[in-house]
Amino acid sequence: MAKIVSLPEAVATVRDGDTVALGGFTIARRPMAAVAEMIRQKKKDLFLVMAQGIAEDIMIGAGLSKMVLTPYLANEVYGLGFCFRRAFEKKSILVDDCGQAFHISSFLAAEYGLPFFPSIAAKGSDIYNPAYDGFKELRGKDLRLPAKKYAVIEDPFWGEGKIVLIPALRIDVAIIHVQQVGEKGTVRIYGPQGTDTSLLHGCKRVIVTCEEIVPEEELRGVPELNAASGLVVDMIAHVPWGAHPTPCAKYYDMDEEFLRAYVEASKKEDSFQRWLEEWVLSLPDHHAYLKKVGLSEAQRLRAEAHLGYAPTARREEK
Amino acid sequence: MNYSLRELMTIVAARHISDHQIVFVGTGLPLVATLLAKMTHAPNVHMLYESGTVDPDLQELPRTVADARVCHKAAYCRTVGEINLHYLTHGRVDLGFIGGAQLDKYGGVNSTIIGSYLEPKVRLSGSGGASDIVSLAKRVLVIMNHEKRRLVERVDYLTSPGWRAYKWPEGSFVPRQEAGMRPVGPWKVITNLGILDFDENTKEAYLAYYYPGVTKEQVRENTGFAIDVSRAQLLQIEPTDLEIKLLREKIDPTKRIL
Repeated sequence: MAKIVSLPEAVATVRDGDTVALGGFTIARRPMAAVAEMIRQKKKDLFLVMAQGIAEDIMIGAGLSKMVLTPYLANEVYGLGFCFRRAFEKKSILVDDCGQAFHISSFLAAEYGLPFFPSIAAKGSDIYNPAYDGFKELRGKDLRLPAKKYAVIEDPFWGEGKIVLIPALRIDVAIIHVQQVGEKGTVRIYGPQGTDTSLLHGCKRVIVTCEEIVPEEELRGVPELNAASGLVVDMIAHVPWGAHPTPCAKYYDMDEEFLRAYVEASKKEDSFQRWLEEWVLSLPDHHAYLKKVGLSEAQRLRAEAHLGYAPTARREEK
Repeated sequence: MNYSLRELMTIVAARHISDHQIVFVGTGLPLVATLLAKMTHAPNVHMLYESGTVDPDLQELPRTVADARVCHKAAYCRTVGEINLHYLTHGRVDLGFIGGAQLDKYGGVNSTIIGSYLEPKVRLSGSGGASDIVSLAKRVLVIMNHEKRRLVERVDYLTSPGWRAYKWPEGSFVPRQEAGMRPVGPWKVITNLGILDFDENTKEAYLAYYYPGVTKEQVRENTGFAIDVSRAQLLQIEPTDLEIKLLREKIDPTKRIL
């Protein structure tokens, strides 16, 4: 049963060494406030399996993870993931490359509680080069990993040739930032959902941070629009602007200047460290971050979608 | 009207899109080309976004592939898995675009690494959906800047195979169907100097067209493998004022991409 907690309380349940999947997609609706909190709480040795963009790039740069499974890690047209790039080139991180179909197959298997999922994509690619299995040395020893990267069978049913079997990921914790959550944990996501449906149903523990906590009946009026019930959510944290600087559909757009400044700073180790100090480590919490970005006043006044006004109790929050 | 080679390349790509096609697009130049096609000769083109949306009516260039902009008047919006499986895996995608850092002479693309994978020089973004697109879309257009260091005999890492692919586990470089892939490789490669096609027998890329203001010699000099330019023709193309105007004023007025 989902319970409402603070962001630091939710993040405190992430254990060193956990396999972690962060919601959203590339540089959209990423759980950025939770990422900052994980850095403040000095998490370490996390295995990141949704490695896609800025969220993972910051975590790698801050030293929280030395192991990632990724189909793509960059900031789209804004630039490469430079912390990831540096770590890869210095070999201070273990990376297993996959393609999008491989990646979603491993999530779908997890989502449905199946041991593996078949794929027909990318067969002649270096993604399947046995010598390039980034976790080769750890398989059979590190219990977070499947015994093999993949297996191939001949289609036993329709004679469609070689089918690749992609092992399920076993994910300890998912952290997903969404627009609305009911007080019992019903999840409503607007805009492209990335792999969030898989993460909501396929991880041992699910933390959802949200723009708004709304009455359940608001969301239960049209249940088919919901991404998950509260039955699969463990913790809810109310974190307005929790995806900043990435966009959160219907709530705010991308803060492009902020993202560009991050990408620029991330190009060099020392400027990244300065960025990290300025925007994460020197700030005690998300409120301080919003204040520094210049959003705290706007948030105080922002009306809640289901009410049409900003409730007094929230307006008096610091 | 004057135009840059990058604008010309975009217009050439747009003209390769037919009306009513289902096109798998990302951000960047392929999106600009698709929007141009939609505003000119292909008003009923249907765009798919790997982030989870089907057939949106874009009003402006998205900031990210998972932007709310890619949901505008979309017919459907759900998950990455659904787009990949419902459309790509099902073989419903008529045309997909990919780009990358290196291209081999069989149209294979590298978007993962420069240097050896185990001793890397430069780490790039990785596959994204590209390796799936070249496996499952009916037709694939590769979009590349034409440079000697990019068009090479063999790429450093074969992210998205062309007409030849690796057969695992032994790693022999074979015609793609022998590696278990569909027998259809990339359709064409559109560069900023011309259009490459693939020889019917050898499946090697050759220069089919070069753009006005470009010479065959220039193409040869800027290609890292021995390229056949003997069949090349000057591309008889005159971008219309409307195309240039749409690119500059309507689709990409702030020069995000072009």
